[in-house]
Amino acid sequence: MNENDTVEPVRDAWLGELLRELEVPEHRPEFHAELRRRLREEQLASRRRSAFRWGVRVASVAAAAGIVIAVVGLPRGGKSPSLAGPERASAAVVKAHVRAALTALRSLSGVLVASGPRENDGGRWRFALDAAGDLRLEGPKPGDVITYDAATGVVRSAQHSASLGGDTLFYAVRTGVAPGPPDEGPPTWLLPEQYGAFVRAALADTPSSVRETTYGGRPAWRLDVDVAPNAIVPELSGDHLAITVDRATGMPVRLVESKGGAVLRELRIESLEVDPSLPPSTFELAFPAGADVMRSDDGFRRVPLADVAAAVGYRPLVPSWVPAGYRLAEVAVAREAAPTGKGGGNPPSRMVASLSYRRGVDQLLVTMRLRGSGRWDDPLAPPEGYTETPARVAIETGALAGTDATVVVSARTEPHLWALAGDLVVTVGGDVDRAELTRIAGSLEAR
Amino acid sequence: MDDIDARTLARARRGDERAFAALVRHYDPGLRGLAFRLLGDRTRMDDALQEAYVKAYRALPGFRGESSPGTWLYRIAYNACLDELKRTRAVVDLESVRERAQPAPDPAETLSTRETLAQAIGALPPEDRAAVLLVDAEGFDYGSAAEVLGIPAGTVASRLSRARRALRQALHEPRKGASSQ
Repeated sequence: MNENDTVEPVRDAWLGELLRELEVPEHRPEFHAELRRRLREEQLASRRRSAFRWGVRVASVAAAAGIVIAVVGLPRGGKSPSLAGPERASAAVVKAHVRAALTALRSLSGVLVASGPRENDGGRWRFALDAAGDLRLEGPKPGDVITYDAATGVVRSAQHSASLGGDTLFYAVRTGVAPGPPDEGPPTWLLPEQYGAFVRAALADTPSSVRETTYGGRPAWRLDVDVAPNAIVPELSGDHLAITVDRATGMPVRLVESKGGAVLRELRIESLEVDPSLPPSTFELAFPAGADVMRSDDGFRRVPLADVAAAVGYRPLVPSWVPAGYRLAEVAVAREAAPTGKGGGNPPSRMVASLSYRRGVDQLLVTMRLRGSGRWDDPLAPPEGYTETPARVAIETGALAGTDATVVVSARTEPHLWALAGDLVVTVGGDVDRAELTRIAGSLEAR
Repeated sequence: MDDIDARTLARARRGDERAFAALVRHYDPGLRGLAFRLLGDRTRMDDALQEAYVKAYRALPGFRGESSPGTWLYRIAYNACLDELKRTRAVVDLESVRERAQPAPDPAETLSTRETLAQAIGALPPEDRAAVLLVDAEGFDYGSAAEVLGIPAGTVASRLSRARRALRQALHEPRKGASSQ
């Protein structure tokens, strides 16, 4: 018979029964405990890769900006012009400069380059994003594309199979995507807003030093921050971060994590363009005619704010104050969403309302969900193995008055606050500082 | 082979550890059978499946449904077993297989059949062994088995034919029980 002939599927039932009767040993007693540990390590490594990808993208962008800026006319005159001079900068000044840059961004494009100790740590991704939250990501293989439409919550992708390999592209549409954390949002690991939060968090709570340097031939600041390595996989976790910020643009352009002085991984952005003109088609992805498309639905629906109460069965808590520049960009509700917290360890998320505010490429998210039964832990907790120093703060005003909230501002997660308030679990998180988190929480009112 | 429900799969894809554990529990018995028959040793079976599950966990967010989740996971496990064979340059230890195929309370005739079959399948090339285990023991159709093994469906048929012939000869049994799925 020709090996390539199509054959009818026929099973030898008699032989199959005999084969199934053969004894197969159980796993060794410690097998599942070992597996759980390895999965925790993998989860941690994955999240850390993502976190550093955020940083690298932006950092590299600024680095490459030395070339691109001349083309696109940067830096813009309104951005902290006094900082272009030779005076020494403090961490606070650099932080303000970074914030100003990210807040004013309308769009960004470039190539993110990542390298690290493990095979999957490296890669190159071309990206484009805008202040509406839309995203396009290409790579790491030719033909791999992901687009995200923030207004509709739809992710479309054409990707090579991670498991099967080969050259075949697989097409998928993911609808009902949450606006962002603590719910699984779009593939934001590309977005510089996350990097900005990371940088600011590091600067906010961790002793850091600043020194002037050059990067890509341009004046830059280097911020050095000591951090605690991960307790579970210290060999993959650094004790020091070096963040390079381009002085002219205020953009973080490079992030290096090291341990004992040896570099563990680096993220950088190349071919950065600040505020490029991006046609609407940038965030569209058409599939070939007749393509087999896998469709999935995360369950979030964009609705007007006025319709939230009817959708989730309670009046949403809406901030009456947000930092200057933020505007309400998306409101989404879901009857059910994936569990939050470390390893998805929290009770099921039911009747979720997510309010997304945007300012440049910054994002601020206020979310709430039914508490139900079961024990809740920080929905925005950093990965397993990282220690954090949460602070308790009493909320004295608004709908959360009398509630003790937990505030976390560390180098390993984005700044956030969470609280159990009556029947709800409430989170506030994003590109804001500690004082702003508390003030936003104190301004929440049921509407 | 029954596939896991779509809801659990979706939760596992989103990183839900409990859903992933459910996925492992669902497929583990069949995967143990495949891995043990390919590797002939519990330690190597465990090592290969540890690798397979970790790789699956890593790749799951990128799983796009291009195949059934079972086919996808079996392929990862099969490749992990091949890696284990290459890594250890292992040849199936027939004595080990024979020893593990001796449940004491079985009737003598059945015991003899199992012993013979265990030895015979252990003597097959791993590729032929995998084909007969997937199709006849696990119930894969030829197309899915071809995906798992990374070969054309026609090649599955060839390997299956060789494997069945060898096993039947070892068991001194005529072909019987073949049925359309």
